[in-house]
Amino acid sequence: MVNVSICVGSACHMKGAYATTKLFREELEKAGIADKVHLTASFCMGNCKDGPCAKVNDTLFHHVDAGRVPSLIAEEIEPLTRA
Amino acid sequence: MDTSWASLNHVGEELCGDKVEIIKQDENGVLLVLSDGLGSGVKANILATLTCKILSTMVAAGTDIRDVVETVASTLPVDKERGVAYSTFTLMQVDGEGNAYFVEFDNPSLILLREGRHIGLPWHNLDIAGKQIREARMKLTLGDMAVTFSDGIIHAGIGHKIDMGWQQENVIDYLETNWSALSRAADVQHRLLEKTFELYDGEPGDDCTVAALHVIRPMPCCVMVGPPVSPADDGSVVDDLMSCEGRRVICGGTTSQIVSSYLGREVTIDLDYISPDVPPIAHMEGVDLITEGVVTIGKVLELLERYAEAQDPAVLHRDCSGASLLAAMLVEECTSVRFLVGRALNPAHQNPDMPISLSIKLRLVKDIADCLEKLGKPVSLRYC
Repeated sequence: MVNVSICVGSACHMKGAYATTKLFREELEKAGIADKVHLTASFCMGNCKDGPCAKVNDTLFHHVDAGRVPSLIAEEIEPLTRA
Repeated sequence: MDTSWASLNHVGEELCGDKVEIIKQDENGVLLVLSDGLGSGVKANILATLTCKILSTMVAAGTDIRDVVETVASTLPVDKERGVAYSTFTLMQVDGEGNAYFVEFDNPSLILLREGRHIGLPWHNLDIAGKQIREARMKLTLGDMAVTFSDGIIHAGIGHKIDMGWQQENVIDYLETNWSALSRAADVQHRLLEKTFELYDGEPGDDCTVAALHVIRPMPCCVMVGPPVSPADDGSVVDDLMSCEGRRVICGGTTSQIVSSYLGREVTIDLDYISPDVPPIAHMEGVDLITEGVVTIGKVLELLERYAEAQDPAVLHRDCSGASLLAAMLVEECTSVRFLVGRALNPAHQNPDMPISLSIKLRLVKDIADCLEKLGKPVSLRYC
């Protein structure tokens, strides 16, 4: 199981965490890997300036806005589900 | 004691000729005065305001009701057209033990509901300065609801929907029939005014005011907002929060992490946004509500201000977002509120792109506290 956590703290919320969260759900379903990813929310990850932030297992990713979600899933998450 | 009041203005009037004054006494006692000034508009408003202020201030100071009424009678300005100085009033004073003192002059008689049934009061009459005053003393019990209103309520629908207007018996009947939906003082004033507005066809022919006092168990609320400036104070602030024997609330992601770390309890955050405008809430054992910080409290202030304006409980229940849950908890469940306001700067917020500042957060908390005080809730703030 791949752990993905999206920051929904103040700064990340203001920078679009709502859209990121919504799109993550949709794109994981679309990629057929929703059952292999444990998607959770988190309060502040300490990188407010570069939000929205997300963690894939223990790796922190910055600027994960809605436009970045599909490539993050394709490049970082999907390979981990096959590992 | 939980209190709630609201007014409908006489159609076409900017100012209400009725006035309500509420003073908190001791820890759990309250003094409430409703006054209806002669006529409507600005003159009536001045009469009612003077009456409320004099009565509440003097009775709160322990002055005998005879001296108070004489002072009111000799202070009110005489109306030039009518040649009289006149303003009705109802006074309710209840201490933390439920000992109640009621006084009324020319207002529709106060209604006391116990377990949903109207019960009579042990009134006795007094003649003070030529005015027929009634006073009663009795012990109230948990759940009792005392309701007072101006005569605009019982004039509703006169000669239109109801020949003789919505009389005292009709109001009692309405309250008894709808008792199951009237669990709070705010419900009583809102439903009575809603019905009155309907009977007037949306154009009240008189100022209409309802004030309700509900005897409830004290329910304090403690809200921790923001991390303390000195991490050395984290423990004492968290202890302060957890010692609250009512509702415990945390606002802020970092703040929730401090509490989690100190107590060794996990915080779990909902992934689902209930509203796109408000970040999700979180959960921790022993804490009733955890929300994000500045965005949520900004929304809470908006909701409280809208509620204070409309006096409509529906404003607080539009959705189940963190802001609505907190606003509803503060207004409907809590009898007093204590804020533990952390003043630590969030280093991550210190850049030109970030529209969050410590001063904004402190301002929002202060505005929420002011709004709650206007709604009759005692509020205390501890800055840390």
